[in-house]
Amino acid sequence: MNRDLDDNLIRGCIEWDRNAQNMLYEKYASQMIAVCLPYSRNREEAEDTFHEGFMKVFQNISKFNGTGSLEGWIRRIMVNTAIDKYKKNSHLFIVSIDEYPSAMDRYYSTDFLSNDGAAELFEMIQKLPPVCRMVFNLFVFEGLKHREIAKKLDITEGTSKSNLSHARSILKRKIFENFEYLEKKAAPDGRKQ
Amino acid sequence: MEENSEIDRLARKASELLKTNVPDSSWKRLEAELDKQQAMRYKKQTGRFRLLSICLALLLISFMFYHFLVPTSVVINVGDISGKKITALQVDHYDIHSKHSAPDLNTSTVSNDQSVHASPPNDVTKKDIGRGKSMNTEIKNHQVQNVQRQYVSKQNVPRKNAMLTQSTVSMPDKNSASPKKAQNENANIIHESSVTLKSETPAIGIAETGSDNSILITEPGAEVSEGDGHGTALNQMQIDPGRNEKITDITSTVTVPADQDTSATAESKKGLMQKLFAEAFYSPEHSWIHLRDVSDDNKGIQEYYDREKFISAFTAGANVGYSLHQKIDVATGFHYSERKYSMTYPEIYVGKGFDGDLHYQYPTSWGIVEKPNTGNRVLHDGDTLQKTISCTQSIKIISIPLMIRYRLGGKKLQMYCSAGMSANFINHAIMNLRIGNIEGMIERNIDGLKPLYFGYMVSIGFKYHLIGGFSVFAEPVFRGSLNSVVENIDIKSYPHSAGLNAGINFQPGSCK
Repeated sequence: MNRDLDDNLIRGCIEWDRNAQNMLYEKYASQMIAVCLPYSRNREEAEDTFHEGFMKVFQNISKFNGTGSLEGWIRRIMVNTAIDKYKKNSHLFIVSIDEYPSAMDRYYSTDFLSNDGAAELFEMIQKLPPVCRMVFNLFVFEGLKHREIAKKLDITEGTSKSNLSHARSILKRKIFENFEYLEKKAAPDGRKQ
Repeated sequence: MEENSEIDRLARKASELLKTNVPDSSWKRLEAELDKQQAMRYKKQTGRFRLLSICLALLLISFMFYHFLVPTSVVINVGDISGKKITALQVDHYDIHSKHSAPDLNTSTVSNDQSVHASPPNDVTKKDIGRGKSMNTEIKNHQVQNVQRQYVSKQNVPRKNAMLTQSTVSMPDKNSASPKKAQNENANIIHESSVTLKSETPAIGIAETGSDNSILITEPGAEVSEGDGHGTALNQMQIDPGRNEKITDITSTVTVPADQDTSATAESKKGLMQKLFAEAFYSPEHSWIHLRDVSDDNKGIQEYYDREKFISAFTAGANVGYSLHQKIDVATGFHYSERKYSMTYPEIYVGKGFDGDLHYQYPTSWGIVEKPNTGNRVLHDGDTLQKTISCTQSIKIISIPLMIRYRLGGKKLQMYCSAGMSANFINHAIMNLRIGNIEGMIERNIDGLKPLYFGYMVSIGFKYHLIGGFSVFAEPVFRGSLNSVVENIDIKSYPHSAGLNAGINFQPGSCK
């Protein structure tokens, strides 16, 4: 039934039916803005990416061939729009791994995350250096391999790996600094409890 | 590594938990951009159609000009240039025997074209006379062709004929030759002359041996000169047996004054006129609309059919056409149509229009008519006006058709069938309202109505020739639409109509 609804929406959008376009927007807007947030430096940039991405969705909806879900297709467009935006303003930023203290002995529970915590974490991701942010998002949220990330961002696999490592280091440090309710969990065998 | 995966898991969890609000302005911003894109798409579509129309119009015009410029058959009689003053110098170039009127020539007759046909006397043997050969020579554009003609002079030409002969040999230095001398000089002489025919237009030049052994040369399209003038094509030249002709280059041209417009020129003009026609018509019609539901909640279209009733419709216009072929015509024109419907609304809702503001809305098959809120009342989305409202909606359309017609039948009564397409511009839309005792009018305030839609038409017609180039015709016609006249609302609307075109057709070429 969901598929039928999507088919109707797609048909309407192909004919530039404003009602259908509005319905598609209402259905996927909040999910897609959340997709755009980690790829952007701030809320405004995320909304720009979101706006551009949706325009591309409406202009190219006739090219959706039904393979996979409509949500997945729209998500891919949003991510690609963010990558294009990044490439226009890209500059490599290598963070020296020595800058940030190792937090190897820290274990973090995901239980602390609430909506506020999630928003704060997203802000931390947004504040990452651009290339680190892009690599981290593509690896963690899109599940791409380093080879694929390197191809998308026109970097080498090695650069992709090092930037992912840097992104994680920075996030660990920031989480350590900002989340006061984190508990250090230490088990004799190092496993978290 | 485990810690790294922990960070990744944390980030993914955050992504799932995060609830983001999308600002209201975001859709408005998107909508504004979509409006721009839509306008550009329409511009492209109409631009393409405009280009196609221009190309088709140019094709039609150039086709007509081509036919106009190319003469069909051009034959000018010798007599048409008779009486012109020819200088002695030019006499060599041409021979005109149209002035001859010698009634004492018992062997000759004066033709309508003032040429003189002289039959050979019986005592002249066949082998000596008329040894001209028939040849059909096709002279193509810009081609120069040498034509050899041979003339055999008569032996023992009687005195009278000798005089005739002498009088038409226009060589100043030979005019003192006595007939006898001329006779002797001319006896058994085969004169050869070469003629260079130069034609700028496709033409056929024919030289034939007539039954009286004269040689007739028809050279339509060739150029001839006379005096200072430049003129039209060459004429028919009758060269009688025994005549000595000296024909040199006749590549110069002759001016034929307008009042002596030849039958050949008239012939070519007549050919073009026969191909053109113009007509005017009026067609009362019955109109109906085919609706398709495209709403998400399947509101249905039955309420539209229940609410709307057809009142009247008509189409009037003019067409101009051109006959491509014996049986096929193409035509275009200018049509004006008006369609009227009545609607009754038991209640009216307030809704958000395309401009984002709240209006009383009257959904119709031709778009959503919006009554602007001119009162002090504050409207809310979903408000209802519980009053029965009667309306009359009038739509005015201008159409530019392109049609192909296939003709059958004879000269007096003809049958034809035609088919075509049209670009229909919705010129004006008015709704007259009556709420109780209050009347109002809403003009040009319709959401969703396209300014242009495309249609098709098919018809079968009967044409009866009256007098001159005038005919009357009657033509049952069906008109439909190829695309919806509305967009961005819950329905797609396809208007159709059936009518009877009746009118007058004028074809200049049919005038007697």
